Order: sequence, then structure tokens, then C-alpha cells
Amino acid sequence: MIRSVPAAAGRALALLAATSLIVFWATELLPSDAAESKAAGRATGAQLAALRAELGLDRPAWERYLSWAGGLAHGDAGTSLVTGRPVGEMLAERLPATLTLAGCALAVAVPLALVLAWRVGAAPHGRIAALTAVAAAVPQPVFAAALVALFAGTLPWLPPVSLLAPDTPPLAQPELLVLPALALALPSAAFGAGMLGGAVADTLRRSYVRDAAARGLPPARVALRHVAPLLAAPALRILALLTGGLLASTAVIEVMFGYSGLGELLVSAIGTRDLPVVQAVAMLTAATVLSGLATADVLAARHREEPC
Amino acid sequence: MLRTRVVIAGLIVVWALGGGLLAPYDPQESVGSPWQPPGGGFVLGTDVAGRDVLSRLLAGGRELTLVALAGAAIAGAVGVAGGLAAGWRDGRTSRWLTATADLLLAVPFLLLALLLAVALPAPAAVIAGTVCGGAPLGLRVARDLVRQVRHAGYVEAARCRGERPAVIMVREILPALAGFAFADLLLRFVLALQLGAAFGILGFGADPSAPDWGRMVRENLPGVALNRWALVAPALALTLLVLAALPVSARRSRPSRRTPVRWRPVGEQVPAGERRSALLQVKGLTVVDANGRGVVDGLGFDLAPGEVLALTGPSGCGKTSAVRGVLDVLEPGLRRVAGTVAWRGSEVRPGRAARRWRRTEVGLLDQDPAGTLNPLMSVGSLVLEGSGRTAGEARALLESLGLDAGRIWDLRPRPLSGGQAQRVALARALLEDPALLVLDEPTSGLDPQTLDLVVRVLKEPGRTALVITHDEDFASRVADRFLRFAEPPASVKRPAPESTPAGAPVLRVRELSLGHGDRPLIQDGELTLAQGEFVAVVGPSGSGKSTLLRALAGLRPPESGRADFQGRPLAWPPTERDAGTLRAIQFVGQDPSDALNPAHRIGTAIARPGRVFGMPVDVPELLERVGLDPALAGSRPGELSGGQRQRAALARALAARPAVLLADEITSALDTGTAAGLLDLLDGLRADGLALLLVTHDTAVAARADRVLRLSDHRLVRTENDVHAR
Repeated sequence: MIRSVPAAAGRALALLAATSLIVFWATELLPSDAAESKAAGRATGAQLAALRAELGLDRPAWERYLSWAGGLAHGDAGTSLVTGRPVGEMLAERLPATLTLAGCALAVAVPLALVLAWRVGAAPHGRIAALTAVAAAVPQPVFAAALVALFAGTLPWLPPVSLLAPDTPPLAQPELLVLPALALALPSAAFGAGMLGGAVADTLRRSYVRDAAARGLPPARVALRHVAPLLAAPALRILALLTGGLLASTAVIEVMFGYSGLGELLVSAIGTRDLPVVQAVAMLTAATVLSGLATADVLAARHREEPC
Repeated sequence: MLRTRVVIAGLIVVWALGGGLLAPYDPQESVGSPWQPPGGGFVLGTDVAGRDVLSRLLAGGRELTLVALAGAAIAGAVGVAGGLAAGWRDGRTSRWLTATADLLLAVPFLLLALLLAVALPAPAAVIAGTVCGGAPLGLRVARDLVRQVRHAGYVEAARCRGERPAVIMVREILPALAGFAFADLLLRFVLALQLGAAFGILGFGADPSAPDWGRMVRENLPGVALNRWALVAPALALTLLVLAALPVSARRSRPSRRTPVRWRPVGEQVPAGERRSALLQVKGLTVVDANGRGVVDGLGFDLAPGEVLALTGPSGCGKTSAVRGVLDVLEPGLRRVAGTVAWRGSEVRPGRAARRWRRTEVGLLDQDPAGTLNPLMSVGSLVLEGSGRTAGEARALLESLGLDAGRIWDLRPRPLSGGQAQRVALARALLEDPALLVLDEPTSGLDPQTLDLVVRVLKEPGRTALVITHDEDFASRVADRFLRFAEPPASVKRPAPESTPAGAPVLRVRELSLGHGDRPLIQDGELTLAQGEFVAVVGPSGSGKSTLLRALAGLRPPESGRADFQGRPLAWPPTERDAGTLRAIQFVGQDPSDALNPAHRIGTAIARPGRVFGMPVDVPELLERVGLDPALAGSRPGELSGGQRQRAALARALAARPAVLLADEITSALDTGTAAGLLDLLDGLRADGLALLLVTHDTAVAARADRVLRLSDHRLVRTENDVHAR
């Protein structure tokens, strides 16, 4: 297992490099390319070839990978094939909206997941555990639909779509954030609680935890002294995965609510085959998850006393 | 109950697949104005383009369900196959598969699917996304399961029968994985549905006007104020489809065949006149399991001050549950449904009162005391936790138990030896000088020195204690009174033990060396086993006794040396041995919990050697011979107790009519009566010429052997313990 900060960072970097390969080659498999997309079927073969040369698409794939990856390492994500603007600039424009949304969602999801996980772990076959399992399985759009039907249909309190006014910080219109943030947070919390609940149940089954209860120690002391220290590492790992999943699901939720964030940018870029944008958003999300997991690994190593 | 759920789930899936046939309108045609509320021939109103919501709802699940089913099937198959490949053998394949799975797990699967959607058409991207996102999870779980079972007793038994790896995988490992694989399939189905719904929302798909529940949700979101059914109906349909997959994967509990146990006080009764007032008084204590079956039935006893009461009985009879019921610390799944517990004359109610009582009055030493020490705490904080005593008193107590308090005080439990850890736990139980001491199976968990300390503590004047033990000798040494499970021990036919004259040698081991390169376990082992002879091998734990038997059974090759069976050299691995040799040498392992494949019935397991070696097997007769009810042939191992499973495993070995039986600690999981019965049975078989090589740590068992070999310092040494010489 990973025991030191450099080792964990090294592993995260190696995984990130591997991810960049996947990201690049997945987009390489495209049946059509950005030149065709840009010309929208109106160009002749010669014009297409010229366009490809202009966009640099005529170079061999590995060469393009190396220059792309090298650019990423220097913070240069390339130029959008569709708008011709630097990708970094486009991302920077959308990032605050998505960070605000994801932050609000996490602020709801994390405490909710912790509370639910405790209940699930204490009674793995109980009613709350069953409800959590159902909530984790129900597709995210259903939550969005239910919330909209309730708070925008039956009770006309909130707008059903969240169109951000341009050049306004997202927090200036908090009523636009409520429904998308909840639609992100509720299923994520259920998913996280399901996973962490398993770890809680495992910990509660350990003989020294049961023995502590059998010796008559107060439940709060058992929880803090014997259970919580062992849960820090799994909780962090799950938080990293949860954040990653949440960032990825912003694509769905942002499109549903018409909220112009990174996810919406990703989806429209997939539609127009704007590869540099797709790759940059994917790498940004992957880097977030991997750095979170690396942090969790380091902390787990500090807490681990037993052989695993 | 389960069947109803499966039928409902099936109906929902059929509806999702075939509902389009019932659609009253063409789902793609505009037949009204947008977002018309229900009415006017439109049961659920119209959608964004004035199309009939009901028709689109009926038709919109088909592609989604088909894609999800395909994705789940492929992901499930890839996961299980990968898990088998990664778990069956450690090595490069295993490492690469695991690394790939880890990488895929670290990237959010929705992101992966979106990336794939750039290159692939939507249904293919959903399937590929399900495989990338779901198969790694399945692979990891399947790999861990395979790793657990590949050294299980039933897999080793199959290897000892010379069965090929492919056969073992299909017959032994896959059935053991079947439950997991099915649950895995359902979870992948849910994952694929989530992806499919997300893709519908994002509008990836060939035909933007085709009905699809996900797309319906998105299209009708802005019109929620006009016709909310256009939004709610597809959302409900998606939820129903997900729920169809979920409840089937819920927990299934198997009824156990355990019968309620009646406890009767046996032993010295104090005359009524002299009876002191009871310290602890238990009346009508009844504990039931999750299925409502009795585990402890109406137990009652008194405990006077200064009295040591032993609860004895065979393993699995509910001794521990009874005491845990008194203390109100039952295992999950067990419940106390009746009975009262009184302490110094006033009732102790379950819950907070019982917790306070345990904290102030009771000292508890668990069956595995070392396991009760939190590995993250130091010895000092462990002993003092929740106690009002000072560090000085704790140190003095540790010293009095033979520990170097100064040296270990700041250590965590891990560097302590097993015996030291046990003593730390004992110190913790004794520190408050508890009015009631509770010891759970001290003879099975404690090393001899710690056990002596425990005996010393129990003999202290005025000590009140409850001792749970299956060891009657120990109970009679320490207890003033007994509570014993009154039913007679399981009956086993008892042929008169007789010492058989040793016949011709069947097994001859010459200069056998076992170990890992520079870490030898056994060097130049010499051993001869004659027809009808009983040879016991004893020695400290970890000295290689079990390894010796496993090597002879063919499970691990020796470093050097040879072993001859009836004059012909034994080959390794077992697949190289001829059928006659495989049949004639049978091995019964140590651990009854995994000796039998949980997926196969007892009868199937016992009949298996007959199928492999092509000989008739009389299952009921074999079961009876090992003292089991022939009706158990139809049961699965999960319904049997440890002792019953051990006897069934023995019956399986005997089914091959072996000439040599290699038995590893087969009595350690059994209570004295059952163990004696089993040994009597083996004695009877020896009269028919069976040679028995038995590894044991129990001197009473070794005493029955014709010869005893001691494994010490990597050598097999003859001992003076020779039955014929005495």
C-alpha cells in the first residue's frame, strides 16, 4: 500500500497519465472529425484537407497526443476547434458556475451522507438502509424531475430552469441553485451513504468495538474512540469518489436545468466534436478525483495499524 | 414472498419491453396542442410537441431496457470472468487486471461514458460505459471471493481427488459465486439504466423524436406548470424499472434447523436452608434468532456470592447466547424475548440500565481476548479505558499478571505476543475488581500460562463468576456448580476399541523436506504407516504438522525426498497420480466451516467421490456411520453446525473407501462426546484395514494412537507414548 506522500503523488500522476491516454484515444476513435463538423458537409475534399492541416489534424496521432499532453502539463489546453478560442479561457468562464453548484451540492450531500451512513451501518437490513439503497439506484434525472414537479409545479416557489444571467456570479441568484444542487446532492448522498454504511457495519462488527459496548462504555464514547478513527480513511476515499461522480453528473443536471457550467460545455462540445474542450474537461474532472484519492490513501496509511 | 417479487419484477420488465404495442396513438405524431393537461382522450395529456404522453410512456422503455439488459449481461460476465482469472492464481495477470480495474474505478463512469459517446452511437456508449464502470467493481469482488474459496476445504478436496482446474472452477467455484453473480447482474442493470436515462436527458441518440423516458423528462421539464404528468410519468416509469431490479437482491435468510435447548442445572445443589441470597438471578430467559426460532429457551439460574458457575455443553448449543442474553449484549440478529435478570434483588432492564450494570459490576473476558484490544490504542489507555482506577493500580495489576508494565505501557497491541495481549485483556476485565466475572471459552482462546492465571483468579476466595466452556474437565476444576445442556450427546455406533495388529506398510515417507527455500518446516521426515495403524502427529502450532498432511495429500509439493504408497512413488500435483492412488488416500481438513461447498447439498458432496472414481456410494449409510441423520443429505452446509459439517466431510472422505486417511485436527471443533464418538468410529474402520494419520494438539486424542510422532525442531521424532508398550 501507499505509505508516503511522494509515493501517493507519484501514483496519482501515473494514473492521470494513464487517464490522459484513455481520454485521448477514446476521442481518437471518432468516425468524423472536427474539420467535417466545422464544415458541416458543405466543403469539398480539398477544402477539408486544408482545414485539417490548419487545425493540425493531419499529423500522426501519437505526435498530437504528445503535443497535447505536453501542452496540458504547461497549463495550455489548446484551442477550441469550433470557436477558435483558447480552451483554458472557455473553462475559466464556466468553472465558477460549476464550482458553486458542486460546492452547494457537497455542502448538502456530505453531512447527509454521514448521518445516513451511521444509520445504515447500525442497521444494515433496516428501513433506512433499504430507502438509501433505492435512492442510490434511482436515476438522477428522476430526482430532478420530482423536485421540479414538487417545487416548480405543485408549489410554484422556484423556477423549473436555471438560466444564469451573463456576467452575474451564480450566488447572486441563489434561487436558481436550489433545485439543481438538491438534484445533485440527494442521490450522491445516498450513494455515499451506501458505501460508507458498509464500512460502518464492518467496523461495528469488529470484536473490540463489540467488546467496548459489552463492557458498558457509553455509546458516544464507543463511537468516537473506537469506531470513528477507523472510518476516516474510507470516508475520505468515498468523498473523493463522490466528488468525482458529482462533477460528472453536473453534465446531466446542468443540461436539464439549462445552467451554463462546465458540464453543459462538455455536452455541447461532445455534440460538436470539439475534442480539445472534451479532453480538457475530462482531464480536469479526473485530476480532481485522483488527487482526492491520493490524499485519502496517504491519510489511510497514517491510520492503518493492522495488516490488511 | 421472494417469488411474488420476482413475478412483479418480470412483469415490469415485460411492460417496459412490449408496452409500445398497447399505445393508443403513434408516439411520434403530434395529435394535440403542447402540454395539454389530461383529458380529451389523452389519459396523461400531451407533451412539448403535442404528442400523447401515454403512448410515448408505453413505447419509451423498450430501447432503454434492452440496452440496459445487454450492458448488464456483458458487464456481469466480464466482471466474473475477470475475477476468476485474477483470483485463481496470483501473478502478472492478476496484477494487471486489478490495476486496470482500479484505474477504471477512479474515473467517474459517467465521464467515461460521455467520452465514449463522442466516438460511439448512444446505445453502444451506454453498454461500453456500463462495462467500464461496472465490470471493475464486479471483478474486484469476484476476485476476492475466488481468493477466499480457492483454498477452501471443498476446493482442496476436489484437488485431492485429482479433478482438473477447469472442472473445479465450473463445479466448485462458479456455484459458490452464483449468488454474488446474480446480485452483481442486478446492480449492473441499475447502473446501465442510470446511464441510459442520463443519455436520454443529454439527447444522445439516433432519432431525437423517438420516445425515451429520459428524453421525455428533459423535454417536459419547462412545461411542468402546464402538464406535470408529462414529467412525472416517465420519471415514475424509470423508478419502477429500477425498483424491479432492487428488491430481488435483498437479503435472503435461510432457516436454521437448530432446535431450542433446555438448560438444566446439574451438579451439587446447595440445600434450600443454607441458600444465601442470590447475587444474580435469571428467570425464564428466552432468546430467539431472526426467524423467531429459539436459541435459548426459558433458562433460569441463581448465582450466589462467591460462587463459580460453569455453563457447559456442546458447541453451538447456545451457551454464549445465553450469557450474552443475560448481559444484554446479544449478537445482531438475536433477540431476548422473555425473561428477567435481577442483580442483588432488583431487576436489571435491558438497555441503559443493563449497560450501567455491565460497566460497574461486570468484568468480561471474551473468547478471543486479543481481538478485543483496539489496535489504535496503547496498552495503558486500553486497560484504563472507562475505569476510575489510577495508572499505578493498573500497572500493579499488569505486573501481578506477569507483564512488564513499564515496557508495554505505551505500546499498541500489535507488537505484543498472543499471550501478552490476552493478559492485557484479562487485566482490563479485573481492574475494577468486578462483582461478577464472565469468561467465555477460556480454554479454547487462552495460552496455557494465561489459563493458569485465570484459574488462579477463579480460585480467589469470594470470587463470583460465570464460565462458559465446552471443556468438562476444566469446568470441574474451577466451578462450584454446573449448568449443562441436558440432551445426551449425538449417538455414534460404538464398536469396542481394540488394538489391531499392524499389517503391511501402506505409506512410507523417506527424507521428506518441506518449506519455502531457506525457511524449512520439516527436514528429512521419516514416517511409515501400516495397514490398520493409527499414528498421531503432535507438535507446537506452526511447526508444520498440517503442511505434512497437505503434502501427502498432494496439495503442496515437497522440497525434496519421496513418499511411496503401496510401493509406488507418489506424484505431485495430484492430477499426476493415478485414480487408484487418489481414491485410496483421503484428506480431511481442519476447518469445518469451509469443508463443504455451500452451493451443494450434503448428499451431492458425499456422492462426489463415487462419481469421480466410478464407484457406488450409499449416502444414507455413510451419514449414519458418522452419526448423522440420513435426512441431512438434502440439507445445505449452511444449515448444519460445525460439528455436523466436520462429520459430513469425514463421510465424504470415507465414501472413497480409502486405505489411508489423513486427518488434520478433525476433533478440535467438536465437543468431547462427539469427538470420542468420531474416534470410536475411526477405530472401527481401522479394524477393516484403514490406516490413520492424524494431526492433533489434544493429548487425549494422541493417547489413543498406536504411535505418536512429535514434530519439533523441523524433525519428526518418535515419542515414548506407545500404546503397546504400556
